[in-house]
Amino acid sequence: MEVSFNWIYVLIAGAVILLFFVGIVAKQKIVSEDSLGQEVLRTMGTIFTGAEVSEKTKNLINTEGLIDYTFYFRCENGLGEYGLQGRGQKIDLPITPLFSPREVKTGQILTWSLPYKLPFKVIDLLIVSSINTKYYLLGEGNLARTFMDSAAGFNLEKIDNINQPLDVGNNFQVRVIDLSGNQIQEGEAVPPGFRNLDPDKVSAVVFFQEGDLQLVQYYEKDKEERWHKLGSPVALLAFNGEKDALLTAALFAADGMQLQCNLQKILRRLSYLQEIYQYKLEELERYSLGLNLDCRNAFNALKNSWDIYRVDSVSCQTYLANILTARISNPCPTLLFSARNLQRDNKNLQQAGNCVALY
Amino acid sequence: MKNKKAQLHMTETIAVIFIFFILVVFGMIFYAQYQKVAFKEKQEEILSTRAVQTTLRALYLSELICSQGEAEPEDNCIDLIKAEAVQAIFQKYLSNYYFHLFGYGRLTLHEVYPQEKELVLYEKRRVENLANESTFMMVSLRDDRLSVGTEPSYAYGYLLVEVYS
Repeated sequence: MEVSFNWIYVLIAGAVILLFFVGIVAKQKIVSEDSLGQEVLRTMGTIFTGAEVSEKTKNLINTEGLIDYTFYFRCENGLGEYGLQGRGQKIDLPITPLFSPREVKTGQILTWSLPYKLPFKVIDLLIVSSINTKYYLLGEGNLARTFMDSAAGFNLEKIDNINQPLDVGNNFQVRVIDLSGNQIQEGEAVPPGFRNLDPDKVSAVVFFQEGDLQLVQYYEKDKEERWHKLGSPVALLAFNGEKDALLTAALFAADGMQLQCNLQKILRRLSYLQEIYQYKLEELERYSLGLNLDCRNAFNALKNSWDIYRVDSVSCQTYLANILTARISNPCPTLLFSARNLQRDNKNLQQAGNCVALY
Repeated sequence: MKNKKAQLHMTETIAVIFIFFILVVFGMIFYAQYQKVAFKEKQEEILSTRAVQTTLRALYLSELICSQGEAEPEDNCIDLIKAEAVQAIFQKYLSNYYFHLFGYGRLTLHEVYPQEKELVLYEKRRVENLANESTFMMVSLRDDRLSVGTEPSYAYGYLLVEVYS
């Protein structure tokens, strides 16, 4: 009787001790997974900051240690975020315009920072992609050549037409960049080589022009293996033509929503910069009073362009902020004209003699 | 006799378990202390990274850089007229914008030649700052108001970036 009592006692005590340690291990597991997640995101943050400031530089970052993680990138209503898929951890990106696929799962991340000017430098656009995101380029001409040269280093292949045999290999996702503007059509079948990939891993962007306006339309594969339009075409504020940073970035953006959202971020920053340049303009106006007539004339012309430019940028910003309910036509292209006038007058001021330019 | 032996075994077992738990408690205290030190080290590491990030951001900030029309902006140069305006703009949009860029910290522009001047560009403090990390960057300071002809006028100084934990 005594012996059996001792055994029960030992069993209960042992079970309690075991449970105690199991509890500690489980708790530690959650804590270390959380802190690993945070560490991973912090590392990504550092990578992005470094990439942001190394203007016009492409960086290939080894992320072999993060290969099991899927990063997601999201941007809505001017507020971006990125994080680890399936976990609660995320980092807000309210400032940096980040153009990337919706998801990235890779051992090598590619970052590319491009300065966006309208007409002065506003912000650096950050393009994030991966070595296992395959880009197929369609189209001829200057734009295609410029893009092919500038995007060297990305997993990019020039193809003659969308119907040629394409092998996606081990790539995580594919993106077709159609600069000809007519090879990807709504309802057309996607290339047979893309059929093994999930619908959200096959996308296309088509670039086309309407008058002076440059637009992009995004597509995704649907369940019937056909191209399906994602939203409406988005007008670009591409100030520098085919070499414009925004045009390049738009070709890497996941969809129109990400592009619009980043445009909102850009215009927000632009409005703050305009307040700074307004102060500089007023300071230079006082300074220009003592200058020669040519200088003062050039300065007055610049001042007029500046006023129009400010009004146009407010209209564009308001439109983008209310894009879902806006019933007016897009006023943003007008901003491009006034920015060009401002650029011209700033150049004239530089060339007019002993004058100081605004930017 | 048998009862006494059993009682002795029982006391022994209780003593062993007691010592075992004492050891476990010691282990936990030791682990907690280690975690505390590791946490502090991690905080310092994060603060240093933030200091570097903030300095880089400040140096390449469109709000401060010396632009040159369509050409590349000048390296390590701050436009003094813009810097004067920046003070008010950073303050005006502090909570909903610039705080996301610089966090808790202070950016101060020091002119050392030809005059000695100081300009606080950004400041956001906590009620109680636990630690801070400072970084200095030598910069040229361009003032277009003092330009002689097309030759810009430069002063020299440094940008002091302090980040608070």
